[in-house]
Amino acid sequence: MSDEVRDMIKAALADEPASGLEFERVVQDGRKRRARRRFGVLTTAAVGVVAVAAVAVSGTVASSSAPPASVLSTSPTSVTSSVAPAPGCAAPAGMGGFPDQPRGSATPEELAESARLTEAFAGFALPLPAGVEATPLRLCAIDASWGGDFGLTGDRTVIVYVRPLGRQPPGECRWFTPETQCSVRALPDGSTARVTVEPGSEATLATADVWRGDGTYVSVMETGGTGSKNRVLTDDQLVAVATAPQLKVQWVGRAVPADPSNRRAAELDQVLAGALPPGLTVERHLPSDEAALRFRVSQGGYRAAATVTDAEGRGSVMVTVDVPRDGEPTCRDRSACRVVELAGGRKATVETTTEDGLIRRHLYGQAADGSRLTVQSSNVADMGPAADRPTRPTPPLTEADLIRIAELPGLHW
Amino acid sequence: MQDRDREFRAYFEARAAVVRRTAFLLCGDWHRAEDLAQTALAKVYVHWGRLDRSGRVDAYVRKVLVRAVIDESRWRGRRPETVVEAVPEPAEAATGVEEAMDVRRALAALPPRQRAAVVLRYWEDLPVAETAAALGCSEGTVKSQVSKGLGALRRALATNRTVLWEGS
Repeated sequence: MSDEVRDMIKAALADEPASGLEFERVVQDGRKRRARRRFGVLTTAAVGVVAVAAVAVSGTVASSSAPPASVLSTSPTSVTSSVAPAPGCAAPAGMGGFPDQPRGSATPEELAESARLTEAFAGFALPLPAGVEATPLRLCAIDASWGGDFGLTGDRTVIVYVRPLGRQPPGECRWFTPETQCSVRALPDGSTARVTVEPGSEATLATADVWRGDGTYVSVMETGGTGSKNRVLTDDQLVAVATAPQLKVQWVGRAVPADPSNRRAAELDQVLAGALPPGLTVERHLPSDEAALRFRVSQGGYRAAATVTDAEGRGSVMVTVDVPRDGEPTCRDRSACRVVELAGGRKATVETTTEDGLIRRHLYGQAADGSRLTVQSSNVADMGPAADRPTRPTPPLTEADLIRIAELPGLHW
Repeated sequence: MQDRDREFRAYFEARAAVVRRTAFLLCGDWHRAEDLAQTALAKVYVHWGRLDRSGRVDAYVRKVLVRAVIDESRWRGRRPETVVEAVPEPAEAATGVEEAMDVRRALAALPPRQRAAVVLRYWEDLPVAETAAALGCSEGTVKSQVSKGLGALRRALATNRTVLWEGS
């Protein structure tokens, strides 16, 4: 019986689309998770010791120390009651918990801003509940951004991250887990605050992101060691920290792309509407699906993928838009690849490969803003157990179609 | 490349497609399946050393997938939209894509735990004990869920098709 049931279940996979899973993205995601997890453990260990020696007065932070090295240390010895100005510091390359991965080094200007921010924040009266004390915060250079953490009574840690706003528009709520709570509100000074609470199985994370009217982006996240689920700071207190005037960055930063959002995905749908050649129809996986190529936020970018059909048969189409980055597409040593020039002088590579009757066409390009674009099409709709056989003579899109789609004016991050 | 990454790449290349398919059977949406697979594989990367030594990588992946799908179904239950369709009307004899659609709809109509029990037992070919471990329930519950799940699938798909299983 089990083989028959298995065959039946297997039938559900008959029109498996091409996989967008990429090793590099999975590893990148894993590294972030690993760094954040390791960071939490280290921080908790340090805070556990520091709490004994901390001399902070309830409601304020103790003055920051001045360790000799210009690299952030999680050692408890970095916390004293010294009032000497802190030198700038660079967050170690392996340190997680921040939106950026620290470079592990800093320019003199970044170090100077690190010192200035640290000293300024020492003068900020933290909005702490009665009986709660805090260790000092040192904001170390990450990568044109600064971050650090301070401990709170109750085995909790607050991670602070600041950078120039870089014209980034306020982010929208995204629910990473079913239990996630999120709200966005406008503040009287024109700033926008987003508060996200993720209960999680290991520790409760509460984050206030504020896109400030003064040109600074601040993220304040309260977390704790494994099993630490009781928050110390309320939503309002997190927002109060994130709006501290002392955290204003005096630094000319680079432009920062917006967070991916469902709103932008819907806009990209409009850009792509009508882009498929006449006669091609998008298959619906379920009757409730729309018969249209739709973008969705996936793996940090936007992706529209579908099986399309015409008189010649079924094939696949996938369009992705990824966050703007430096660089230019290149063919390297791929013989079937050629570089083409898109409208506006942008470069793209186009390649058609054939293997056992499977024909795949790829275009890798960039939008004017640096967004990474990928347009793919193949003559196979089935990629699953019964797949790897052509379902039409040629891919539904020609190379000219790929180029035309990549040149759509609104197709960018 | 670090040893960790090299070893994980070998696992990724061998298993990513399988993980994605299992995720799809559990959630019924290829896009969501890809996100679930990415999350599960990223979590494997986090714990790679320990998991690899214990030989429990696949079991860990399954547990992550099942929990995510069941949790998500609870969440969706509190929201206006739902992805679970009603049990379909009996269909004409179907082949290929139509059959896929029928089976998919029938699977989607199962409650998440029943669906997971059926998929793990018959697609992943797990023993009852391991299915129970992945679902976090007793072996008796697994047997009950599988029985109910297969019964529901049979009712949904029986018309114009040979009944493939009896007495389950």
